[in-house]
Amino acid sequence: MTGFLRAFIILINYLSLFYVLLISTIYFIQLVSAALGLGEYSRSLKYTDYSRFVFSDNMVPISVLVPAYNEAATIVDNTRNLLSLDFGQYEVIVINDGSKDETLELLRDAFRLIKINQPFKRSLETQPVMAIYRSAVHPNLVVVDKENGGKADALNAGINVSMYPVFVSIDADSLLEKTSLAKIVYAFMIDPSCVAVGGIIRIASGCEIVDGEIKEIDLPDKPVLVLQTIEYLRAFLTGRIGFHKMKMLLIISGAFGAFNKQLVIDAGGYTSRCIGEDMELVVKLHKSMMKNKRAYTIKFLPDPVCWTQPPDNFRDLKKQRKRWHIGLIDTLMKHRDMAFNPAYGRVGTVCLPYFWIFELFGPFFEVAGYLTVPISFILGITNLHFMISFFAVAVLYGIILSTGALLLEEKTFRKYPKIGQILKLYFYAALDNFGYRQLNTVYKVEAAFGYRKNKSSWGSIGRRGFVSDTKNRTS
Amino acid sequence: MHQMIQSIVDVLIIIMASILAIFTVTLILLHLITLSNNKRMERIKQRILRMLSAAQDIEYLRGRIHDMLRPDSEIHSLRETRGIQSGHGTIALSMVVKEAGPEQKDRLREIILKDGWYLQQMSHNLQSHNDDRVGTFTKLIAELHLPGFEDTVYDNLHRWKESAEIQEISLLALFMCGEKDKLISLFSDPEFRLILSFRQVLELFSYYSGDHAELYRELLGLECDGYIIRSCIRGIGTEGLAELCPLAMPYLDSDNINLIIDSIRTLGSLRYEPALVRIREHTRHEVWSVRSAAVTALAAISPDTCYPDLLRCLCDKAWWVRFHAAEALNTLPGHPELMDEVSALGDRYAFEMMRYIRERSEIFEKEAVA
Repeated sequence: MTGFLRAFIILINYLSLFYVLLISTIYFIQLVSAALGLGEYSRSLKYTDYSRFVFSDNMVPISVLVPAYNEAATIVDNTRNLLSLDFGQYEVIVINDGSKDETLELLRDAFRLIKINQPFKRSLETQPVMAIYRSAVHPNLVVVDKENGGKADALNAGINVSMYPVFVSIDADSLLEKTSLAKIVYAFMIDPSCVAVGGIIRIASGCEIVDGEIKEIDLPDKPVLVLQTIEYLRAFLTGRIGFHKMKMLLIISGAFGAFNKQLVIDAGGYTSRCIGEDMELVVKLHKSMMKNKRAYTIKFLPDPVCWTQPPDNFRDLKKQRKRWHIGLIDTLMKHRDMAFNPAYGRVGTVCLPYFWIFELFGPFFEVAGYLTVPISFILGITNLHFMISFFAVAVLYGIILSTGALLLEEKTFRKYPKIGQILKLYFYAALDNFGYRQLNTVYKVEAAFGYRKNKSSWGSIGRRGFVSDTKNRTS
Repeated sequence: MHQMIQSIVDVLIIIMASILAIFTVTLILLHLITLSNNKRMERIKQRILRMLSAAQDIEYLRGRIHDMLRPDSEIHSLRETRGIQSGHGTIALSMVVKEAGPEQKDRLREIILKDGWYLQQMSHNLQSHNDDRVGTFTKLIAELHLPGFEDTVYDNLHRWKESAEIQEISLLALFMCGEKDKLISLFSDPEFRLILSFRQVLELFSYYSGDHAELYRELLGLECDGYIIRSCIRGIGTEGLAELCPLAMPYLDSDNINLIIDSIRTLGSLRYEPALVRIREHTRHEVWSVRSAAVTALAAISPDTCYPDLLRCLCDKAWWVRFHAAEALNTLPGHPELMDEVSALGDRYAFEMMRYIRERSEIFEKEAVA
């Protein structure tokens, strides 16, 4: 029995090590792929100039959808920001999803909302809409007040009310750069087969924000926020671009994505009561387009920026990460028929299996390794050399990846031009691997165990106004 | 077995540590050298930066071009700036063109056209096999309206048949330089295939520097791609070229739905009365988007006689047709009992749409008065 247990522990050790090595290799391939993709994108910007189209009548008109549930802290700044973007023809539709706070009242006062009897097509089923308001000062602002039904339901209601062929979904705790809309919509303009486009999400905490506009970019002071800044850079500048380059993008962040409205309606819209509605929609679009044998593209662009407000404490971070992971599991379960299915091309044969193995089961291997390697060392099953090697590999690959993302950032967008900023990011890129990343893995494992219980529950994350995150500067 | 795995892992750790070290040094180097203010260091920094970073190289070249355009400049020709003939140099030139005023722009054009060496470099680059280079140089030709390269740009359109980016920038150059003959020859060439989206093509037409009416007249007489014809028809409307309306008339009976819609919109916006009968018929077309365009056009051409048609269209099954009918009805003068009449139609959806359009315009009218 002891011999069997010993062999079993050694097997787990090797499997965990193998997993860590394999994932490092995959992430490194993603990093290289992302570097190529970024280079290609930067080159294309040299002579294709989206700015020619910004105020052109020929630009695709768009509807910006902002689902809001208890967003009183940020909704006015967010809406003001969206109404001031550089773009010709667009409407902003805020969907108040039965908020219990003052979201609607604040909007009503800030934008002089007037109730209007607006008829709309019910292309997608949603909870009842109680009222529609239009702003007397901003002709392109519409506010929909509906019964609570969750984010997906709110977005579906927004799609029903929207007028234009392309919609952009934005979180109410986010801000867009002036040119972000034009940059993201340009993808639809040049490519009629484009179904969806995602933009990059960056952390707004630490930046100076005046009247809903980012005035100066800086890093936050709180370690949990800087760690997330690094994490977002890594996720978007390597992961998303890498998947985009390999033509198998599966996630477009709910915080900032643009979609062809009719194709989303044809695919059934967002799935109500689905926590990972953003990823689920993209998978659904892949499925619908491939089933109908239609040529299509789903893209990620690293240039259109959306600044968001992340959780500023570990309690909220845990809630958010568990929610994201439950969303991932939910999507994978809902579309399990696509995984390993050649009918769905590389999405079915490469991308979804990757998510099943490395995103869903991977955290179990990783946590198992973190537990069994030290235990087996204590029990004398493995030596110190092996234990150090295991942790060295795990830590090094994380630091390489984060530093790689920093290099890509430095080479392309340089949003953090000061030496202090880059050193701080570098320091946290290393620190990230001594606890924070492992903590996130543990959250994922916890989420997987609680999946059945929590798959329909949203949980709530504390919201702060944008001003509370900014530093004390005179502007 | 254990030994073997351990050895492999050790090697991998060394590789990973080396990669990390390289990344770190590159990152810090890129950043640290930007800090120095010492003059000598500044020069070294600039050289290293230019080697490492394309952005820095472009920035340096841009500064040199701006210096050259100053009246008291000691730089008199492009060849005095090393690297100006490169792709980076061309991007820098393009940036300066965007920033420069008309006088500086003219001076830059003059300098380029006088410099045989640079023109030779441009010609050489335009004929290269590197799409990146071809694209950036073509962009410069478009921005500065540089003459003498039309044939090369034209040839490139055939040489890079599958590149949407080269097609767009080359066509932009021809449009911006007003090369009517080349455009007509290209669009009537059965070998040439447009791979751009309709909106891109439409946008290109707005940059044409020659006589638009003449271009539209000639293109509409040819067997062209549907996007070209649609762009011409739209252009007639947006530029108010009423004399060209007869050219758009035949497309009211096209097999292409988008052509029908564009011609309806154009003829409607120009209030072209000979089209009235056909447009009125189109308010009963089987495709809702045609009906929708026809409703607005009908109200524009014949506000006095369209009332019954608009009321009928207000009861259409398609949301957009009802919407446009309501918008048109709302702007018609002399119908104070409109809401009662709509109510009498007994169509709930028609009534709701009319009420919405009324309420919406009241909100904005009040705001305008306030």
